[in-house]
Amino acid sequence: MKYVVSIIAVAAAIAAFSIFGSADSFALGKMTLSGKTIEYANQTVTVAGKASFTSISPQGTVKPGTMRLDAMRADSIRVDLVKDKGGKLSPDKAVATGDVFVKAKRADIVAGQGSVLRDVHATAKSATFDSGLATVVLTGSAEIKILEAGAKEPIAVLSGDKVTISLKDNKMRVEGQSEKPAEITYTQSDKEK
Amino acid sequence: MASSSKVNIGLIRAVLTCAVVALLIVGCKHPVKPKVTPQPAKEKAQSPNIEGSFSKAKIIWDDGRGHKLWEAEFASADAAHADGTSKVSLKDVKATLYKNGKAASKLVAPTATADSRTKEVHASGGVSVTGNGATARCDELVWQSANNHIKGTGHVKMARENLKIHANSFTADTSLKNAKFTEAKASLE
Repeated sequence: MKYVVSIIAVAAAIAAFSIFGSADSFALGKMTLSGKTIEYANQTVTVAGKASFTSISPQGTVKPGTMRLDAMRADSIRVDLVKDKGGKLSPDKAVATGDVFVKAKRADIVAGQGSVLRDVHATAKSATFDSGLATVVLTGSAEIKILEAGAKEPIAVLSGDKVTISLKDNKMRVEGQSEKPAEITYTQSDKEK
Repeated sequence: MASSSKVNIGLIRAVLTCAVVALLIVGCKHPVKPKVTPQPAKEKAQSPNIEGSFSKAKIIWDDGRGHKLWEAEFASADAAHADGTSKVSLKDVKATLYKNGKAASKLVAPTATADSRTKEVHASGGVSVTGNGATARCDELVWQSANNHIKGTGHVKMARENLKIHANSFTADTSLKNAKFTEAKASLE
């Protein structure tokens, strides 16, 4: 038996929702991009037509208390590149536009269980990844589902006009509007009762 | 009376003879122009059709104002000049492509055909072009110097430092500063 607890944030109130986490370093790692077309100009790569951005970091290496961005899909994705200290090109910022889907992994620190890996599936009209800030900002009818690894039904759903995900400390900030307040829905599993 | 008539006739004959001789020697004041029959158009002189073979030579195109467009070295070439156009088929080509009179990229190909009228180069057999820190490889490539335009097709691979792009085809400017790929995948390693 499960029950649903719904919390509705009022008007312009900002809801901060954090699940366990401790500050830690974050790294995007290597990445691939694919799409109908890819344009390169002035250290900017623009992918259009079923655009896909995939991090190719080793699987299962999410540090406890952090999140890892695994993939983004959208109508188009623009990646601004910069040269790192080693002189290699690396992503500085990635902007996804149109029918955005974001996939991430979070390593929650659960009392008595240690680090628990969970899936994060997010949709929005647009999303911006900032490497320096280690954040993913979703805007426009943003919805985030948190699932136990391999599960189909989410254990939590967050929705709002804007959601800011902090990858380095596993936190999410949900913002709504007066006419459409933010929502956070948490589903308690049977074993939690 | 009869003797004076004979003398007069003789004198007239002498004068006439002298006049004819003078004409033959001196010629007329207004020489007669020879009659010229205009030639039909098809018989007018045209630039000659030339065919030739070359080896270990160099071809240079310019824009007529002293700015280079293309400079190519090759192992061998067959050239044909007809109707005011030169087409040359090259083997083992190493060429420099110019933009605004400055060297923009380098092209290497096993075979290439260059058309001096259209200022186009068609390269094939596995082409590579390098410029602006990037190298693109493809099966075939067409460069249009007038449009500053490159198009490559077939098994396209471009590498720019640690950014690698694979695609079915691509277009770019002569210097490879900007490029667009179709059915592409990029990886940042």
